[in-house]
Amino acid sequence: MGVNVDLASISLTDGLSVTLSAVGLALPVTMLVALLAALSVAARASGAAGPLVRSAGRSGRAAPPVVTGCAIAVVALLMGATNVAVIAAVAMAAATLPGATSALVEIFSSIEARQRLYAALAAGASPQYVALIVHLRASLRSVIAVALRTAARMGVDSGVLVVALVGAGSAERAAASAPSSLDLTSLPFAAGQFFAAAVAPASHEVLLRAAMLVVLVLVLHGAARLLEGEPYRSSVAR
Amino acid sequence: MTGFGARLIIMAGRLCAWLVICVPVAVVGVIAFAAMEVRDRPADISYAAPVAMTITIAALSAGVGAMLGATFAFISEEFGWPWFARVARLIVAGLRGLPPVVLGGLGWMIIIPRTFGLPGTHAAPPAWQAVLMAVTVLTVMLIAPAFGATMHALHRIPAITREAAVAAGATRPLIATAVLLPLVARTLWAAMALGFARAAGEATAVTLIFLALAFDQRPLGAVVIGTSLHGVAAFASNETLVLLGQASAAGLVLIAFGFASVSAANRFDRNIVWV
Repeated sequence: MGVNVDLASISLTDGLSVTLSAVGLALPVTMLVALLAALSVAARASGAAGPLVRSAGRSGRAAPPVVTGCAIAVVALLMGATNVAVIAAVAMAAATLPGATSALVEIFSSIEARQRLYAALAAGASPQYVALIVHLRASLRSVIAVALRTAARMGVDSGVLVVALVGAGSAERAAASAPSSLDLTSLPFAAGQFFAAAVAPASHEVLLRAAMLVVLVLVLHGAARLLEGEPYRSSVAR
Repeated sequence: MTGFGARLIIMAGRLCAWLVICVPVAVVGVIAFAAMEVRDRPADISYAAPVAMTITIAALSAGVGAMLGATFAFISEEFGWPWFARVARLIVAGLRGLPPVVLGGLGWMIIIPRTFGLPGTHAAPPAWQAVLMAVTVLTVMLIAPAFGATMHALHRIPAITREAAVAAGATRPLIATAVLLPLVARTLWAAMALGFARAAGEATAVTLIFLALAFDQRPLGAVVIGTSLHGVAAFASNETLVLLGQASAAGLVLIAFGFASVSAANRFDRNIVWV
């Protein structure tokens, strides 16, 4: 898979379908796993895993996305996996799962959430009911905000995608026993943008793609803020 | 909820919790395996220069970024200027919306301005410009999380602390510098440590900047991506695992940096909000 890019063929729609497929695959799985894990930790039903989940969230900051991408590339190469969308989805999920879980655990362990928990328990509700209904219904907006921020991170994290796709490309080449050329239209949007910028930074098409990435992040973060409200309470009026 | 349903949900929750724990462990395991696969092969990359450059760039950008973010937070929160608070939050929201790949592209265009519109007509600028640009780009990237961490730390301080200082006749600047700053100092150190971890691991922006120079001595994150790109471009497929193994070795060094920084941050402030 040589870096053999014809910039004239780049268009703004290239990679969008792969990105949507990969995020559409990775986001629901990541959020479902993170939600169940966080609810389990908040309800203190996860046993020995509870403190470890919090540690995994903090340790997620220690493993850079590019290293996660490297691990996915090795696995893809060894397994002979060549499906770009699936590899990208796995890389996105692996890179964002600890962080998303940690954010949800913080939400479900907040003082307000604990007050709701004790109130419901005092009213005779079972801990499972509290975890599933009280926590989830009360924190639905925050959970959706975490999902939007996770989607933003998945959509624009180029490092993890570029390295992970090396494994897919290498597996494809090994299977075909011949070099194949890099097709930007089949790469996720952020990874395609990275390659295009590396090959020809002067291209206006690349600038437009970069602007689209910024708009995508701003829209998703803006939507998350609208749902969650002002993240920094002002004390100016004090 | 029925007993069976509750048990099913609890079991699924436990499994998911263990899955969350297994993901980072598996990542470290896989890259350790790949690095071990190439342990008998002489490395094509010398890691001394990338490690030194990574430490320099990450430390400078973490220090400056954390200080700028904290200064923004202090001025906007404690000095009683609502207009400044609004502007600072708008700027921070804008910075949060810049993906690293875009920051790297901007850095490229700044150090090689003639590239923009005139491809292939530039001479490579000196290496210090790339280092300076990498520090600048990573500093910009770290301002937003440092701002958020400082704001949350300021909100954790009990209101009675400020009220006591006001009752003693202290002005807003004096309260900020003499009362609140010492109380959030540990959060600032934690922000610097976490900023170091993020800056050391940031690969895309730094790779783009250093690719502009075709400069061999790249920081570690750039080595990981650069080596993998080399794997993409290489024609011999049996060499790919070797190249990925060398990238994994660089990845292990990055993780070591990260764990050291996160451990230090946990010692300073375990409850820091860093997003």
